[in-house]
Amino acid sequence: MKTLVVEDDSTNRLLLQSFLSKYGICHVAKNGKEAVDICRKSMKSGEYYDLVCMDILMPKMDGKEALAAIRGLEDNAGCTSDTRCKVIMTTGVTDVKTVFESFNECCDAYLTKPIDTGKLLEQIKVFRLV
Amino acid sequence: MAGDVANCLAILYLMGLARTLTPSGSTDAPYLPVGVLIFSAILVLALTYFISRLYKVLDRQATKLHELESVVENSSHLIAIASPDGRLAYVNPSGLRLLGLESDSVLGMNLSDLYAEAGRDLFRTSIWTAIQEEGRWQGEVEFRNVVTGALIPVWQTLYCVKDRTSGKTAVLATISRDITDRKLADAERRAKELAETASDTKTRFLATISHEIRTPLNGVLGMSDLLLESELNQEQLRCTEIIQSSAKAILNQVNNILDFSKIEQHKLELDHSPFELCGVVQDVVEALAVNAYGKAVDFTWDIEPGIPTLLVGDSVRLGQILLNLAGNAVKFTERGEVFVSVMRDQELAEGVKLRFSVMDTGLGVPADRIDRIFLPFVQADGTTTKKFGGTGLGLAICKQLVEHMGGEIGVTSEPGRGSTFWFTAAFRKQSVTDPSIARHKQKFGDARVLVVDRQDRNRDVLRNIFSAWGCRCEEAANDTLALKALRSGGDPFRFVMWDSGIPSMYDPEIADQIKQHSEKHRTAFLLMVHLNQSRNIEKMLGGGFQGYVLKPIDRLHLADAISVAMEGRRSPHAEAPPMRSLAKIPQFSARVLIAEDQPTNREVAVSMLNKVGVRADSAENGAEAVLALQRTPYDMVLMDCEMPEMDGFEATRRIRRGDAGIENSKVPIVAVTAHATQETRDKCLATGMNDYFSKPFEMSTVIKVLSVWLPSSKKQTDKVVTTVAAEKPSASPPVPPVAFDPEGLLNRLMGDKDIARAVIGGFLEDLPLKIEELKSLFASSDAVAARREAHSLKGAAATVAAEALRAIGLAMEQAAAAGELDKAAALLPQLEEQFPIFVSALQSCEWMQMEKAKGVTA
Repeated sequence: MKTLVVEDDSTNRLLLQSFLSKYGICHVAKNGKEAVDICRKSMKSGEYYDLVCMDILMPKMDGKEALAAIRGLEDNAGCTSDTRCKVIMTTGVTDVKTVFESFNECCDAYLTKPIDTGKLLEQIKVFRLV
Repeated sequence: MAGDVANCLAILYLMGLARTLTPSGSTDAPYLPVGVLIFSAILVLALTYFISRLYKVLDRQATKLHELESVVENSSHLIAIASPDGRLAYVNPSGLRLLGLESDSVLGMNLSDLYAEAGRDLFRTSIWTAIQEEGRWQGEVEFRNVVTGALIPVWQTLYCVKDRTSGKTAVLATISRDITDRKLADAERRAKELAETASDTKTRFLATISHEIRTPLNGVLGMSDLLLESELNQEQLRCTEIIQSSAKAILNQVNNILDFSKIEQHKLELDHSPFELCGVVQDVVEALAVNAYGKAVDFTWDIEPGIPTLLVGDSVRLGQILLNLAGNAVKFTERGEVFVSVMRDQELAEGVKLRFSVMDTGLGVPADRIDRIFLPFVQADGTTTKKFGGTGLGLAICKQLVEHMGGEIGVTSEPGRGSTFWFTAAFRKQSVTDPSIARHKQKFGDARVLVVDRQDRNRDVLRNIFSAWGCRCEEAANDTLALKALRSGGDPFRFVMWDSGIPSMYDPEIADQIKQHSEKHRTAFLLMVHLNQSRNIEKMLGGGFQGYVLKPIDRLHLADAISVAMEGRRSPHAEAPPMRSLAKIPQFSARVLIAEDQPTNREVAVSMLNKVGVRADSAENGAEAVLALQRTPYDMVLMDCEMPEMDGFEATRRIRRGDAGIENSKVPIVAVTAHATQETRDKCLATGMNDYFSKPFEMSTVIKVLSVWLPSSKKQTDKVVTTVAAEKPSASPPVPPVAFDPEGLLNRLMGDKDIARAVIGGFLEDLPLKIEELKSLFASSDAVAARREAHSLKGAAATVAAEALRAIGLAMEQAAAAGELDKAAALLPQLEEQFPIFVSALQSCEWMQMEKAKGVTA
């Protein structure tokens, strides 16, 4: 499983990276813009991420914009809803509503912070990535 | 082939002609026959050619006609031809089938005969006119099948076929497509749309009605809350508590309704707050006990000794499930008993799974209904809903909630004998254990006690409680056995629990024996009285009884009642209530404005605020609130969100904008919402309010809000008014955040200590940077960036379970969001203070030490 963690807070980033590295390659990005750049490059070389964990509130480019941009890249690359990467939005409890409203179409799941790795693993299993 | 025949004939003919002409022997005219011969030959050849062409054309046309005819004959559409005046000449087989006609019966019918009655008029008027004038008509009409009489909706095209030479109408042709299927699909779609609209309407209706119910309920809850703060004797206290728990039960049901729609939309979020299990069960049992006792149904509950009672989870939802199941049990049981029990189902890595059962001796569930009983009520048949729906939302919602709590639900039943509904649910354990058991052990440990009750179940319950306290518990099922036990040797009983259902307790002789025993051995006698008999307590109490407890036994009150009785004081009625202890109500010297349109709520809020020393004024809508704030500077505003004329959001926007004076633009505004939805909460904060709480007004919430948001100079926590307040711990006691919650952290990380250590390490490196960053942001007054940084700090602290740091981060984020940078900046010292506390909490954590050791060796 190849994962991209997008998170501006280093503590949370570290947590997700430590955990997800157990299941494969895990790259990180500090904001939405970095994430989009990384995705663009990796797609050019024909490499696709299986999973993206994306924070919502980030400087430079927030999770919502970044997600839309990544989905756009995927559409251009001819990905279908089956072959595109799975996206888990990570969010504070107060943003759950936002997730439902803004991300329903684009993301596949959400997790509330603080991240519970058990729940994350469950979700990854649902995606059949492990 | 015809051409070939013609060619052969022509050759034969020419050969014959040559033979007849050649022997004519005339010498002077030899050229004429030859000329004639050549001419004839050419003529014949030409003729032959034309005949063959004619044959070909006719042949091709016949083929084409045959093909077209087969298309028409086999078309699934109705195709018909009529004379210019409308008489039918031909109808294709599909048409005949559709209309139920025979091919020969068509002749003599008119085009208009195809239509159903309503269509005939249309044909005679608009269709016929269109045909005459425009030569064509198209539209949706209905035909009728002459055999079955069925109406057939069709899409019909009717047009004139013109004569090519004269240009006059030669025939009328019609092609009609059967659209029955499409019509059905349309009808289905419309029905679906209608249902969706109805569902929307339902949701809106539920939201409105629950709001309408909540308003008066808030009055009941608020006033009973106030009443509980006043001096009450035990009976008044219990009555008020029951008013309150019943009102809370209604509120739960209203919330239930809202939950149900959330479940339907898969939007249910469970709460994860600390709570005390016995309190939740007791509340449910008390809310239903009067009904049960009124029917002579015994209603008891028990909890397996030694299972954790301080848990983390959704106590409100747990209460809802229990209320639903126990409510049904009481409803359908006419005699016998209802027994609620809590047991340990299984220890989990991150908590405990409990098993709750509600056993009754009621109607039972018929075998054919058992499978369906947990299905949503919309699917069950009407009688099932009526009979087993219980408190309205039925068992479907229980099933959903239980599944959300990681458990299962089920029922075993024997019709006529009773049912046992059970469910399991998983909870996390609080890191602290209930200290009361240790206290009780210290106080009552090793005491010899006697329980006198006819009901085995009640004796079991009490024995379990007293054994857990370390008492030596003896039992007696009737007065004879009880007196025998009292006369037995050994050390005297410290206290005796005597059920009022033992009839001979009115016997003067027995009463006398009890009195003598009580005086001689200093044994405390407590009477156990059913809740609905409490009015007769005066009569019952007499002789040697020092006090009483009400059934269902409230474990949280029991020890107090016994202590008081043991101290030899009789449970007084008008004197200081024995079950309550002196508690402190904090006092504030502040002035607070309440904007609330509902008079009851307004009065409740004002009374509560007065109780804590706050001078409270009220405004009836947002506009009045802004005006009031212009006149008087308030220390805080409690703002209802929904008000006529100007709602709380608009009023907040105006106050923040400076409409009530720039000096008042930063006043703390706390939203009071009727809708406890995340959406409303988000909106409150987004509008610039500092905090929010949901109605009803509760004393504890009001005090909490005041302590958080009033300027510290207005808090006079040192000056307190002592008054009576229930010592009973609330179902979810406010727990101050701990510096570090190692258990919670490991739970979230599936026990992976390596990740925990790595993440904490990262956090420790990162936090000083974050604090510096915040300092510089506050210095440059960058509210937006400060808010984000505080948000990030809060998130990071939450990730490593640094709960106290998280709380400070949250307060900082909220203050920054409200544009109050000063207030946010004022939290910095707290942050810096808390950091070393967190570090030392880490040091006292065993598995963090391993990291330290590792670091040293490395």
